[in-house]
Amino acid sequence: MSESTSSPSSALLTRLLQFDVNPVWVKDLRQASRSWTVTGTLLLMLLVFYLISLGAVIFGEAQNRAANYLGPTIFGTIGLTSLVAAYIFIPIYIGVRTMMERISINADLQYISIMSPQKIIGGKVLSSVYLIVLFYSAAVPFLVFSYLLRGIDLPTILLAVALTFTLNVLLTMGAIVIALAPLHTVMKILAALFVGGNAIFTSIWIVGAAVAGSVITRGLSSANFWEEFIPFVATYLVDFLILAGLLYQVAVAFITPSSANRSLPLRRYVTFMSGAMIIQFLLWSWFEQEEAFVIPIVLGIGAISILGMFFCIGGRDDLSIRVKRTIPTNPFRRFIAFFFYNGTLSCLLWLLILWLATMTCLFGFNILWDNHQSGTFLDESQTLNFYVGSSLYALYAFAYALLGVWLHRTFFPKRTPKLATLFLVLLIILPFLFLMIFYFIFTQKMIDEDWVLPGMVINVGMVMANSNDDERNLHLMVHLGSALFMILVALALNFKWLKTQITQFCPYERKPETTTPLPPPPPSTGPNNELPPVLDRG
Amino acid sequence: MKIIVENLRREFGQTVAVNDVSFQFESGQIFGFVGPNGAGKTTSMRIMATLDEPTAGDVRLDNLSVVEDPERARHLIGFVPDELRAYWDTTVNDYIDFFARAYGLRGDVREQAVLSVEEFTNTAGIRDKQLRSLSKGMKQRVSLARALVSDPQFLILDEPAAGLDPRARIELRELLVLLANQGKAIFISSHILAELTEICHGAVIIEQGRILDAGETGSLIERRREKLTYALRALSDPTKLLRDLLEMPHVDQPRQAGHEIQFDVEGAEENAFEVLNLIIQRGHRVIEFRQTKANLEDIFMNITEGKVQ
Repeated sequence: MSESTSSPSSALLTRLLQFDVNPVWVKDLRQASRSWTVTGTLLLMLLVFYLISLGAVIFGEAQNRAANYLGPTIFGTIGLTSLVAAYIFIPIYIGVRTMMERISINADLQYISIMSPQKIIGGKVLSSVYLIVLFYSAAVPFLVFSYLLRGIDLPTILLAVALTFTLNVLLTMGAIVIALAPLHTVMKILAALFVGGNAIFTSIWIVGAAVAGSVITRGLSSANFWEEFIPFVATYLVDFLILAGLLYQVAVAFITPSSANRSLPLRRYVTFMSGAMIIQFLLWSWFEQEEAFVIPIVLGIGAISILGMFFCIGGRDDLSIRVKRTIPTNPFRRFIAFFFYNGTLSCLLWLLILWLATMTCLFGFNILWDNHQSGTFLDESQTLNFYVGSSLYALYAFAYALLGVWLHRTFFPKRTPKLATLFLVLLIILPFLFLMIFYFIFTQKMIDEDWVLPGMVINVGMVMANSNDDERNLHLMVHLGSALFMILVALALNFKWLKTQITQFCPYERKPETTTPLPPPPPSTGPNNELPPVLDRG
Repeated sequence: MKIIVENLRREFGQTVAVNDVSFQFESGQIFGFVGPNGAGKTTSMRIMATLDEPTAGDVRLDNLSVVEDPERARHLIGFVPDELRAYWDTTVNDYIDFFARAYGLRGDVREQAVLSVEEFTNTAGIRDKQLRSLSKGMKQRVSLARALVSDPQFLILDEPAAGLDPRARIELRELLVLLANQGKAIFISSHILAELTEICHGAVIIEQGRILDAGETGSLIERRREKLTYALRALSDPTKLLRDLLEMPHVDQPRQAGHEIQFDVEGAEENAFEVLNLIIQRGHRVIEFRQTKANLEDIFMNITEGKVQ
């Protein structure tokens, strides 16, 4: 029976029978198993564990055993050693390998095989996870040994290992993202040092606080185990999955050809992720009756919206034919699709809408809170600061981004679009910097919160810190007016470009001469794959 | 299958690496890609292999666009870059097996495919060796094996003969002729032009990103040849023969090349007949007189200026 006529169940059965492990996973693990770097690090780690355990038993027994301190001591020392080894070594190892595969002219040929970007990244993540498991499994016998020496309970060990493991997975995925980012190698190394380095130390600090600070132990023995500790662990797991998903989607977008619609899965995911983040923190805020839980929403989605604007103007703003071919013909669906497909304008608008939708949700929550909870969500004096003050960052970023695009398109149209991002940064920094320097030179004073500098986003933070409510609110409204005015000017300057961006978003119509049917897929993957005959060397 | 390159253009900032390149050839043909360093050969080949995207233009495999549908095009393309990326800690067999998996081959089919290409490219004997320990020639074989494991219809080879010893070059040439006879379209760039002349059905000559000439090798040579070169062997004093040749009409640049004398004759073949008559009339005892075959090297030197971007 041909595949086209077979039932879905038999097709599924065929797929299951033909299941093959991810090729990248197999390759990476084969390489890791043959690598002296991995084997050497593992052996060194085991030696250190052995020496620590031996040293603790020999030298620490006399004074500590009676007080049941030996178990936690060994657990802490071994945990920290494996933590440092796995948190530093594995992301560097995976990141360097991945970066080498993508180096410009010699790009690894796996990226032009028929594997999808999802499959490649999936394979890389799987092999990273396997490597992490390998490192942790080396530590397990020693951790169990610490349990046998008492002073630490098994659930604490398991939870600490789970926390360490999940953070390690995130760090390694972050390393993959940095390695695949379309940046110069030097920039990647700098990003790895600053972002990666900070992430590693933060992760070590989190694990240290959770284990050494007895957060896990106290949580497990807490009277509010089901009401607080379990929801907390569940939230952590959900956030881990969400963040891992984001890193996965970003990595996939980085290796997807720019002619493909690589924005769609990423923007869809970020929209879903933002929704999940809003729901999660609003629920926490509502049930814990703690308004401060909404701060991660403002910071998280604010960072995504603003940083997204920085990056999206540095990319390709025309639509390839293959993207155009997938544009829906239905006007409503096309309207929605516009915000999720490739394109600079669509990305800027999507990010702005994401921010405005977040603010709308928070405002709705604010009303619900004021009506149903005891006390008000925000002080009356802080309302404008919260909604307008935070929105000003997104609005200014939007205006600067449009101006950056205009500067690039007007003065350097043949240069890389990354220049638009550079202009955005310069527009933010330079005017404020010059003003500050000149003001200081002439007055020997610094600009403070009494100043209102329309068009300068750095000034917004100072204005928000102003303790005089009336003055602050007035300044905020001036900034709001200035941001909206800048947006209008930028839109007017970019009028032609805006028109092109909108009109190009229409379904692709094939020219009559190219309507001949495409050839069928080659039989290279089929069972009758014929290979060249053996060369007769006789 | 017909390979059609249409108005290909690739810009890197202000630099135009490939400028309006168009040509075509088909299955069963070996086409050479000739040009000085920096002419845009590798860039063009990377675009054809879907490793890069053109600023404008397209490459079509029949009706399948490499730009619009790279995922489908990859089923048909095998790419052999100028250098095999040295996978760390990977054996020859693991390397080829990985690409067989990457192209969706499964189970016994994959094992058979890997074995076949290893035998075809004579790499079966080194299957357990690490890639980094291989010689340049062996690496090229492995690279070819990797490209062939998915049985592509269109093979792109970027400087595959560079750094190979004479024996390895001859073997590579044999392999390519065999593959072309099996109906594969082969596009090859090389600096060893004499070898390309022997195996190529056609050639594309490129300089500074622009095509200088393209077509079947025979017609390319005919079209571009301004003078005919002849070789002569005579039982007489070569110095006197050279002096006499210098005085003869239509003769240009007489020179000694080993045991024979070579000279160019301007105009039609009748002029060569006239020159031969004059040589005999002057008492030289001619024992061999033949027209030397022009090759791609002559054409290349004739039409390129050695400019780079």
